[in-house]
Amino acid sequence: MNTATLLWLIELAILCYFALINTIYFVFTIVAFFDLLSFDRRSRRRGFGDVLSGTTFRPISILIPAHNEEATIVSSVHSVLELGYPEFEVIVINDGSTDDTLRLLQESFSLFPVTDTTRPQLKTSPIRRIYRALDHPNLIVLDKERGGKSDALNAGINVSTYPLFCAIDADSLISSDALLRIARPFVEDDRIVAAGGVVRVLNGSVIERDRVVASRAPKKMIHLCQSIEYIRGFLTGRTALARLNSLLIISGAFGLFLKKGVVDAGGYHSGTVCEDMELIVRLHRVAHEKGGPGRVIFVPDPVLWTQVPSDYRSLMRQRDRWQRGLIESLLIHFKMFMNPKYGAVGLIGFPFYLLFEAIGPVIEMFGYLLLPALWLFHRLDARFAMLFFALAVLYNIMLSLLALIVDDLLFQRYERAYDLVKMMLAAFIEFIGYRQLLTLRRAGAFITILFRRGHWGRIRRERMQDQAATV
Amino acid sequence: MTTNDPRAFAITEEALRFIAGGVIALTAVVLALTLVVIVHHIVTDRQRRRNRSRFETASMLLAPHLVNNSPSLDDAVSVARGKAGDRAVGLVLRRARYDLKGPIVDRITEILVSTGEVKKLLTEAKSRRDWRRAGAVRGLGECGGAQAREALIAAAADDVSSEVRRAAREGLLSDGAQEAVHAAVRSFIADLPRRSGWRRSFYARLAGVAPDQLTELIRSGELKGAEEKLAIEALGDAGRPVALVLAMERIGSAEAEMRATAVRVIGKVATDREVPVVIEALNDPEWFVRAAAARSIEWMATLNAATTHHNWQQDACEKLVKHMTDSSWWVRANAARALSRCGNAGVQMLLIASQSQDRYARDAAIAALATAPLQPEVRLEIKKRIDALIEQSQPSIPAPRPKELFA
Repeated sequence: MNTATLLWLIELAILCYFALINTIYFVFTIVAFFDLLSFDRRSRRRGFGDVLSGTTFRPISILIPAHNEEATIVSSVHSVLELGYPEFEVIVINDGSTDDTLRLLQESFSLFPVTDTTRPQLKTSPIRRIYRALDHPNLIVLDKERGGKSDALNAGINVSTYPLFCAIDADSLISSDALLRIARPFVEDDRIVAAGGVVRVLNGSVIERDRVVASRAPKKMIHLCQSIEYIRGFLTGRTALARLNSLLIISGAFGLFLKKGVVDAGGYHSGTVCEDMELIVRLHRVAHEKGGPGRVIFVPDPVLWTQVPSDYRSLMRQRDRWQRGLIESLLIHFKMFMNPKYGAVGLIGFPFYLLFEAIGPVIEMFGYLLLPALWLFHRLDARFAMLFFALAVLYNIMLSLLALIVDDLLFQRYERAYDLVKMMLAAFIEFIGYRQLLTLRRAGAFITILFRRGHWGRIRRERMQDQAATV
Repeated sequence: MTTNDPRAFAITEEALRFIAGGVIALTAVVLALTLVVIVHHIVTDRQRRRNRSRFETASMLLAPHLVNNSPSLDDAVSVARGKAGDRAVGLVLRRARYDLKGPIVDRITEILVSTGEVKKLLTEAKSRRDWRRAGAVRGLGECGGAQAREALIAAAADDVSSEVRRAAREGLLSDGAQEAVHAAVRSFIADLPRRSGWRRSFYARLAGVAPDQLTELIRSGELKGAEEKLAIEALGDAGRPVALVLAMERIGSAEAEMRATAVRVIGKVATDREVPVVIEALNDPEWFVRAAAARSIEWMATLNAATTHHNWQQDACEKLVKHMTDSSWWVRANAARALSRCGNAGVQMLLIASQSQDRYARDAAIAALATAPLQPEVRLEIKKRIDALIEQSQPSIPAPRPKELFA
């Protein structure tokens, strides 16, 4: 085989990869559109009588793990305490913070210590103090030694008293009706063990008294690009995968879980940096191996607003961690790969995440590097360049635009047309540099996983008010 | 790319070209669609603002007449129709009919018929699309009246879509007429929803609208096992006195789940007279019945605090304190919480238990005291005790590894 043929084979393989992955996403978008349309029609005229009725209602424990979250924790807890839900408790877990997180909580909510009366169902690192709030009887603060996010969530589960728990991030604001919306499927279907909601970018939106009152397109390019990614990932990818009963991720930032199911599965696993994904894969696995509720669903209308990284260094660290977590989770449960015993999860979900989400970035990166390399060595074929442009660049831009169209037609989150136009323009610009940078970092996770195992990486946080157009 | 490639590869390249062509064409379509969506966004945004303003206008014009059942309601409706349009007026009237009680309800139905709202919904109820029919039958339920009822009864019995049948049953229960409720119950029994949440929801609505019919249904024996418990619990949640009768009949049931349901229902609707039955249930061999009994005592002490003589509280406290050392954590916690609601006697017992040698009893007592409504000096005393205990922390144990979990 001569060099030209070998090169041509490589080019062909890369093009095939892009054509395949983007076609899969295109199909996902179509499936998601019809699924969301049906969801919208079903839910449009329904109230929350079922969720609120005495016999069907289920109280919820909200868990907020916090490690060095002094910039956002008070706003976040205020936003959660004002949720429209009949009965819930808020458990903030201060996971060995070295900043003023605990002091700010103590001052803002008049905390007083109570003794630890819990019977641990899950093993965690030691709890130093448990606090309750004088002004908010449903607020509990745990101060514990550093054990990581999973450990903090496990400690929260031990202390929680209600049958459902909702894990949310400390750098987020939750919509006032989000709990009602995400809890509804649990009322209707006993087989559900976990439900994920939509996470959207907070940066740029209008905040009034710790609540997002108007959704706006972010001002900075880095936020705009992440915003498009979130809309694409949540509205199309997850909806379609949930439809196929193959959803392997519920964002750690916002998910509602059946406590019994999670405790039976052993709680969050501390050995991974992507505890949210690992838990979902394990819940699927336990449901198939031992029985019990095992449906994991995605609910497209409850919204949580989260602060995304504002500098490229933090963004890269975050994506590196996500990718390492994805690889770790898939390796831990590799037994499920193409295993018919695990149904759709083993045959569709697992292979999809492994081939396209874990290994995919390596091929993608190779494609992005190959193009300039060929040009540099005067081996770039015009046909390859054009096909690459159509299958990798144009196809991706079209998918981003389609996701924005679906979002606007069904949910119309942006009130102003100006914001919509801004987002659509950003869908074009996103592909110049941003996408390649992320791909590079994601592909690099195969190397970093070898020496940064279990390492989270620090992400710079800013006050919510500084990130948003506050009223 | 070279031109003298093997045939299989050439086919692949052809296929890729075909896909790329498709992508370019699709991108052109999506770009056109993007423009359409932007225009649609502007138009619908304007429309939404206009609808909101119309709804607000109609509400402002009609609300005073609706609340007072004013004789000039018809005139107000005419004015509102002129200013805000039929759609907004229909929506306001339907919402009002759902929220209001008394003779105004029939009057609103008449107006909805005369303004053509019912006719419009009847037409929509014949749509080929399930979601449209479901929306229309829900709307018809809000309108009430003979015409709407007839359509709802037909939909509840015969519609091909289970969602529409369910919506029709909801509509019939919203209507509330005896004939409508009968039809809803018949449809429900014939077509028992698969999901327990939907069944619970139906019982809850039925218990609110027609408790007699639900009681009749329970007594007829048509509801078996879990269904019977759900129905009785729904009556209890709605605070219906008949729930107490049904619960008292079942308190001695051989089935532990039924006994637990009965105890819970008694806790929600009972008066002082039934307290001994609940206290007796604290001795049940099943832990969840004991836990339910302790929880019921807590409810009775909290909910009936204003009306009860609290003669029973001393007796209950003595029994509850014994369960502070129960083998089940749930019973201990519930007993402590019940004690915290039983006035001074209960708090005193919790204070004693908070110094107990039994760690389980002590923890449950302190947890209950932490949330109990207490005098400041008592709270201070508890705080001192907590501070003395606070050094005791949980042992450090590493979190589980998946290998252990699946061992």
